[in-house]
Amino acid sequence: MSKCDQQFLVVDYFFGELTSDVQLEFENHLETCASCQEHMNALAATSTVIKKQKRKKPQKELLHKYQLQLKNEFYEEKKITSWIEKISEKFIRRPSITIRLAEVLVLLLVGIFIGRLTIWKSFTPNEDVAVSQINVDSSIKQLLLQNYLQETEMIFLDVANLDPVEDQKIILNLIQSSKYKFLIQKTLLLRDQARDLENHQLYELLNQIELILLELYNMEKNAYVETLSVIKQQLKDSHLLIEITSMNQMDI
Amino acid sequence: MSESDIKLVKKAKLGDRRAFGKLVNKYQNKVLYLAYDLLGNYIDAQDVAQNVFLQAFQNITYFRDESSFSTWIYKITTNAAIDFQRSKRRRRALFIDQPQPEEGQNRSIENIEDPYQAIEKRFEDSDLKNLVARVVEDFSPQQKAAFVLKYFHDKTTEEIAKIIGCDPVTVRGHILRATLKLRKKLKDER
Repeated sequence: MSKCDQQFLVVDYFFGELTSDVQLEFENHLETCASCQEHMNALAATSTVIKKQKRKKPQKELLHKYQLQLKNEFYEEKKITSWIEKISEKFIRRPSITIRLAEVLVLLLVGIFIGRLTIWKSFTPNEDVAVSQINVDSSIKQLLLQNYLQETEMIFLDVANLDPVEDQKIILNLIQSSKYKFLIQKTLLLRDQARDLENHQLYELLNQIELILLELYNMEKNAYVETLSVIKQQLKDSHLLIEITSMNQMDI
Repeated sequence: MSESDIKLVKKAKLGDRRAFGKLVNKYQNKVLYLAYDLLGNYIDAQDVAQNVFLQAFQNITYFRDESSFSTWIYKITTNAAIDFQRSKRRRRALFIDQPQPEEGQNRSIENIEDPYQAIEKRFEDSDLKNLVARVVEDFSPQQKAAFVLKYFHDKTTEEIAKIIGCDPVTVRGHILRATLKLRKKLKDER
């Protein structure tokens, strides 16, 4: 019997595994191919013989033993004796839905608590931080005060040294520019701080400066020379300039 | 893969022993019968089947969903049965090669017979006598596996190819050659 190149398809054909197209094509081939027909007969005969063969059943004892061993190994509930195993079984391995929800809730609460702790820590002023903060604040205030005293000293020095008649224009320009430095506002602000800090010396000094500044800023146009002369005299008499200078040189 | 198998495999992969137990319960007889069909006796088949489930449990995480769990467990069983038979043959060969005791020496050793043959004889004697079983014994391991899976377990050519790890053309060849061999033997017996 000559070999056929389609002989192995006979297996799939016999067991009904060919697609309808291939099956039709193979059926046409089978009609003319003696080799494939012979194979078909062999498959049919074998299949008939095998169907007659009944697989011997295992002995009951053996089957029972086999099934029992598998049951014990894989799907029999194992008795849990240790309390650690009990806890792990109840809470980790096989927790009920209630326990699972409770676990999630506890985790959430712990998360919130840790989060809160972190936030509180970041917002609670540390003592060291507070002290350094005060130091920074006081040094800034001191700089501001010194800057203010220097500006005041400069204008008062000019008023005290210049001639109200000859240098009238210069003095008026100085007064005008000092207005833009907000000297009155700074005086009021610093005076309040001096009062709060109970620094009486500074408080009194700022009071006097305020009065002079008010006089300078409120001068009437037709009384410039007269007012300037009065202020010049006041500055000399009050020793305000000396006080400002000394205050400027010391730590307040 | 049937829906329940997919779910059970997913659970088993996560370490759920009970889910794996359900798979064992479903496939325990199929695995035992396949092992029996390949080995020819239930004593060995039982040992092999138990090892198959242990292997499956240990390797369930490596199981890919490309094939069905059924195909996977059949593949493990077929390989385990082939390995078992090979090692059994080696042990038999070693036993036969043992030097025989001389006259007057320890006589009791003469009474020792191959333990495997003895058990088979006791439990499977009548079964081994049937013609198909005897013919199938002559097949190569792969040919035998293809033949058994096709005729006794109704597996398709594609499934058999996956189980024994070869291409479908080879499987068709194994089945056809084994069938023709059996056919010839049947004719000769008559």
